[in-house]
Amino acid sequence: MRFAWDLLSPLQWAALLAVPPAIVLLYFLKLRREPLEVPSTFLWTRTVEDLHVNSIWQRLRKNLLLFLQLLLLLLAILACLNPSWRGTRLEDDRVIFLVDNSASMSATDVKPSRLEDAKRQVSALIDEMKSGDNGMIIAFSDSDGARTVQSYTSNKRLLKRKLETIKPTHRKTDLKKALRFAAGLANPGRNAYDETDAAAADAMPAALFIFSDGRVSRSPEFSMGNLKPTYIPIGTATPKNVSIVAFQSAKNPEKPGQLEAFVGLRNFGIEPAQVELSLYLDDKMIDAESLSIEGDSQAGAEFALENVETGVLRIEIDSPDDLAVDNKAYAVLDTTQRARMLIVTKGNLFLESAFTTDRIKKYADVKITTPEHLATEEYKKDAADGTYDLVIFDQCAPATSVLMPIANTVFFGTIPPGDAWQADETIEGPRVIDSEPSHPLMQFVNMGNVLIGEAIPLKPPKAAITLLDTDLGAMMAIATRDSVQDLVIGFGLIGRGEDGSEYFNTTWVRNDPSYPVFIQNVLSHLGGVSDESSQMIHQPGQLVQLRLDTSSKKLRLKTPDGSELEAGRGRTGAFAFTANNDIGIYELVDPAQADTTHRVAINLFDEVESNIAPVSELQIDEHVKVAATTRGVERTRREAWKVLVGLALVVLVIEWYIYNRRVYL
Amino acid sequence: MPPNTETSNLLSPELLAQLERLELVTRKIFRGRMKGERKSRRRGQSVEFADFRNYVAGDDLRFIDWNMYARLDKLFLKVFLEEEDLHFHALIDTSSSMEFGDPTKLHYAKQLAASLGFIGLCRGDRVKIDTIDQPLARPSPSLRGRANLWRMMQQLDEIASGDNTPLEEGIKNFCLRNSGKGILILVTDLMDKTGYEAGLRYLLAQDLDVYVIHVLSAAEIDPDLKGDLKLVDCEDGDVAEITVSKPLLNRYQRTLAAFLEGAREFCTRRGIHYLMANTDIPVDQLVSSYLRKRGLVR
Repeated sequence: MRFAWDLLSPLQWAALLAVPPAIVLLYFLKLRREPLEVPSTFLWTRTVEDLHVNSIWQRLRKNLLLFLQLLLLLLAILACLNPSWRGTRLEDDRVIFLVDNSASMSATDVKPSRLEDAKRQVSALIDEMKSGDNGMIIAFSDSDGARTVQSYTSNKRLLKRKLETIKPTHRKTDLKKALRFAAGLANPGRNAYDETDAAAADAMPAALFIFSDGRVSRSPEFSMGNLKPTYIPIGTATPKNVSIVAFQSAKNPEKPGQLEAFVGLRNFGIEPAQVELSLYLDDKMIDAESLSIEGDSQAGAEFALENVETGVLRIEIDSPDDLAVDNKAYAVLDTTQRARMLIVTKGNLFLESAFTTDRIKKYADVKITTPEHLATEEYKKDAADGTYDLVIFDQCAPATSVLMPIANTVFFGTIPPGDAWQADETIEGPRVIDSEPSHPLMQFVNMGNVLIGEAIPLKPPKAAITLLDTDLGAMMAIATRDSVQDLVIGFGLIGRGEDGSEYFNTTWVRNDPSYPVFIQNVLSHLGGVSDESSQMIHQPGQLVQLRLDTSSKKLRLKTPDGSELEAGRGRTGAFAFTANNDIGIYELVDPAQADTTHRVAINLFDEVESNIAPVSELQIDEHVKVAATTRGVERTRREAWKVLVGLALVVLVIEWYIYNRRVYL
Repeated sequence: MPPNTETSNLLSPELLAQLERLELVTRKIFRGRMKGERKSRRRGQSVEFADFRNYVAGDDLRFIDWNMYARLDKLFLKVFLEEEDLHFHALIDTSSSMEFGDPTKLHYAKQLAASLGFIGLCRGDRVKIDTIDQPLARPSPSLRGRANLWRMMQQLDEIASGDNTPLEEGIKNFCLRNSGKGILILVTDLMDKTGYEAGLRYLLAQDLDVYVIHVLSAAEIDPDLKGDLKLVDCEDGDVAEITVSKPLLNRYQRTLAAFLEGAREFCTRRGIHYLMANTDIPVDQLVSSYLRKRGLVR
């Protein structure tokens, strides 16, 4: 702590320093004794003779009031000099602490961990709060992991107690929801479209302190409004971390009975790293490998496993680094999930061939039938039971909306029955003008050069998402129907002439690479197909859905931390659960099938989260960045004059007391 | 002469009634000049048998114990105790320091002297009132009998402080003026810077039954002083500058206690009766209680 003084001029100093001696002089000079006649000074003389000493010190010792007056003067002089020191103080009376407890905050480059360091800094800031200041604590990881740990309170002890309840997670980082929580009072909600709408409450500006390493999955695209953000980076500038970014297994097509396990590694440090890998099958080590990875680069490893059909594979990096959570990965070998699909068509080579490849056959059961099948009892039952994961209607549709299957559907060249979907008259030659590339179905699908013959412009339901737009109307859209989705494409892949001959209705199926990509997207997104190339990566905090061949409505879920929950079957027929905070193997136990266990691997596999070097700027939205600060609070000049004046008042009271009580040392 | 109005200030009627029932007592039986109510060792004529002695020619035949003659066939004479009078002296310190207190120590001393003197007059004792500042050449009158009460009171009224004669000198002059034996009560505050020891030794030489009544006012015993004071001695003008504080007052108490204890010890060792009297103690209580316990009155 460095003190600063408002220095005086030499003349002022001389005047000030002359005051204490003047007081001493006056005190002794002005000392008048009241004369009092007594019968005899005989006894008094005897009494005082021991005390009567000529030394100045003894005289001064009797003059407690003098000392107190000098002390009072000294305190007054000090207060006038206005001493101060460089300290820290929270300037705002409302403070919000955002504490990142995602996977990267478990890094140990700061001891004992980044999260503990963040909590320590928050605790120090809580101590800086003035009486009457209000503080709020929000812990955040991914969008589901954001929670208000403690709402606004001026109780520092309560804030600190709640701060300690923040535990680390293995989740990714998403700042948006946490910022929404924080903005609750600072930016009271109002309708941006209605100018007459007034804010529900007065805006309460608040200082926002974000304790994080800044490794967010995506920019929150958030308007701070009345929030004054301060980003405090947690962690060292050059941490060491080698993480497992991919781990999957596949059957070796060339060698039947052999399984191959692939591990992808990434060294996020700047120094080369020597990595020791260990592979476990059902907790038994079966293989190991050592490899070195250059700084900020990737590497991979392969393991060949003979005669392994089922089990849980676990790969571990034995070499310690600053983040341990991404040093492990899991893979389940006995994936039993197979998709069930129904294709209803009069005959469509492009459709049939796309859905009946050998690759798809490995992971899906595909049935092809004719539109007449839609009138059969078998179809009605399957539709009502949700037997299928995906039903494709090629230029046909069920008669009524009641006959729509409880499954995802794709309609080519026709719309679903019912009132939800509408279509205009058939048109010819619509030109593609826009698409929705951010939708999973349109990922890597570019239809800008696709020509379309006959088509029906779509009028999808209100909440539908238009995936393909032409100059004559929407040509592809997807909408939710209850718990399933309907994808409607306004044109068929082939046309039929009056004589029954077939012709291309679109160039999309002719040598356009986006068509098979689109089909793959349909299979993954709507069909629930997963194979070694499209194995679903389940990460902590995400919703996991499994289609299992069982009549049970509920399964027992065992999580890696040992807790047991329930996973129920949803309306889509799939069992769903939300992976909690931990990576590892989640087990679904089916009591109806002699406790058969279905296992799901949850892994981090997030390069953003594993890249644990703190960022220097936190991107809030496209234009707003918050630079990192080294300290959580502003350095400010803490003045001490109030303390000195308070002390002077105390001395004055003591002096009054002594004067009245005639108490001396 | 009618009693002076001052009499009522010193002796109230209630006190007089109380004192009438008392008499002065001394451990020592002294020879008095005149016949009084005291029993003396001297053999004389009284009703109190003392001893036998052989008859010699010329003795009064009325005092022959005929029973003894019948038994022993020898003549013995009865000897009786002579009743003599007691000399009571009151020596009052009239220094300026005796004017302090409420009532003043001097007034208190006068009251005490008047009370004891009254007792003596009632019993036919010889009473003499002296003061420390009394010149050697001016002896006090000896008073006997109740009829001389007014004269005693008048003498007491005329006593005033002022002449600060040292205690030793005053006692010495008293001893020179009064060669006789008897009871002496010295009423003083002993606040003599030259000391009291020499003066009291003079009294020892006189072979008096000495009672030292050490009179102090309440203000001297527990002074209620505050602040920074310049204490001025009323007798010699000596100045003592003090700053009153609790430690100082505590130390004063210790000094006073030591002084009192010193005087008590000095007197006790030398056979002098010592009594410390606070002017807050009523005189009748002092006489009837404290002095009775000391054996001065009964």
